[in-house]
Amino acid sequence: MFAAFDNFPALLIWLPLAGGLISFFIKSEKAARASAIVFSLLTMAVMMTSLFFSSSESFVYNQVSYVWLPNLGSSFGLILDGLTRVLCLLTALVFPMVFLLVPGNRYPNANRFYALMLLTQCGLMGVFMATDALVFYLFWELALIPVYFLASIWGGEKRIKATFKFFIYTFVGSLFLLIGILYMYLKTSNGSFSLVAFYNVKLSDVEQYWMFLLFFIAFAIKMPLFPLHTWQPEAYEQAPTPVTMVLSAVMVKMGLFGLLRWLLPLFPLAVKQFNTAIIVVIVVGMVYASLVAIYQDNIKKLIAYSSIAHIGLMAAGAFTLKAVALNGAVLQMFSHGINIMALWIVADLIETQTGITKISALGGIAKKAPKLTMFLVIAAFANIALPLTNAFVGEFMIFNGLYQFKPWIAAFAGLSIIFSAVYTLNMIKHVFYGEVVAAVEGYLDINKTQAMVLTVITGLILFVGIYPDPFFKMMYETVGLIVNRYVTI
Amino acid sequence: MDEIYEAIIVRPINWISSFLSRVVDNRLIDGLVNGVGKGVQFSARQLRLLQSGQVGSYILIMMIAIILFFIFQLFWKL
Repeated sequence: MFAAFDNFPALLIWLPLAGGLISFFIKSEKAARASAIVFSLLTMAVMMTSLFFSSSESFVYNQVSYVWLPNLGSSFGLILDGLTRVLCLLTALVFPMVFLLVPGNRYPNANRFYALMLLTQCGLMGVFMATDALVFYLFWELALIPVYFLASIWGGEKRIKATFKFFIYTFVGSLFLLIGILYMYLKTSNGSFSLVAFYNVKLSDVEQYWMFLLFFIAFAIKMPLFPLHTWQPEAYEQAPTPVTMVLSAVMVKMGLFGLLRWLLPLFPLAVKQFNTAIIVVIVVGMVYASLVAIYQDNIKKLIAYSSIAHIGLMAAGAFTLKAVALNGAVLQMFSHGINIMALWIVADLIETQTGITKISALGGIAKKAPKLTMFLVIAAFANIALPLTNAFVGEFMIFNGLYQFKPWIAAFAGLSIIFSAVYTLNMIKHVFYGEVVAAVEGYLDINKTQAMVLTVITGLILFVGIYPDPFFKMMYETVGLIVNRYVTI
Repeated sequence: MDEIYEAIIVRPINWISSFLSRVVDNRLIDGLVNGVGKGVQFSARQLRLLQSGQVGSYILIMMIAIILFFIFQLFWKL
């Protein structure tokens, strides 16, 4: 009846791409910002609409496939299924919020800034929707390259070093991924890059171990997992905050998504072999990152290390292979994106007004900006995963899965939750309460746009925390397919 | 009570936290990562010396390589 709804995935790619290309040619800063906002809102509208149109009873909701490189066995295949929907929804929500928050005159050559941001969005959408390994790889890189330019042109003082490290680090990971994809391609029966063909490849144990390693390194760097995380705090600190928001809210989810869509279903024997060891390393990394976060005096680095700990928990949940933990991890991917957005917004507002990112140099903002403080406290509670917030649901389910897997691992991972309360509440205490310091004397509370964006975020935090059911309805079939691959072996 | 708590829990955690951050994260892990980069740059600088532009030296290196290759083949039967 609504034949066009199979085009939703395509629209989610073309709209940001078109918006990005158009923005390059807009001279005025105001117009560039307006066009970026319009295109990102259009993308969001398409995403929202697509949620109401399911094309079949099966797990696939919308799917398209164009002929792309028939001689190579690659087609431009995109899919919107349960897992993808959650992540595309997050991507579609984050970009308009970022554009609304950034004042038009903040960055020189604003048109290029917005253009590169929209190209990043296109890349991210493509990564999440690709059903063809070559397309996946193409978008994987397409999402990385604009970020390189964004961070190295508009970043902080040490941006060149931080961005270079980030780029080389993730690029090395990508090359491992490419080798893995090529090997799998050569193993398919009919020479195809499609995900289905990859699923049907029969590999020996040893081949699976090697393939697992190649794919896992790429995804682990992207997430990042301990001990491959050292690019992240520097990149988050040095990149311009809108880029950091995109990096931490959406981009690191590429790695987690790669686990769920590619790694876990493709190499079940290897996953079964290694998952206990990997979970142990991840959980040690979580506690480690939380401990390091306690020491940080820079708000941005604190958020970065907190993010490493939270991402680790989701990855550990995925590797338990328990349905409850996988569902929790997918929900948590969405929730973490929303929560960390809120934390970055607050960090950015404080930095633009006072020029300070040192926690010890701030104090008493609550007296000057009560509204901002209210939003921050809710976001901070979500970061600690208190009940009624979105993170509680996801992390509770992941812990449930971890406990089923090995109780002692769950107990040890619980330490990182306790530490997250320590560093988050410490940060609130020092930055927002206590004596009003001189730098905060003339602090202005949030304006209407900022209040609107923060209200949306708070609404999402509470909505998902109180009524997460729509998300589970969306994702459980797709997640079930991943778990089913492990039932037969 | 507060003092005991401070002494057995808070201070050790702060100490571990600062140790992990300053020594393990900054020096050890990041040092390793940067070390890989520095290693590549160092070996690139060394290898550059071989590119002298003198054909004679290239031929010499080629001959040495060929001899090494033959010796290698002689001892390692494939």
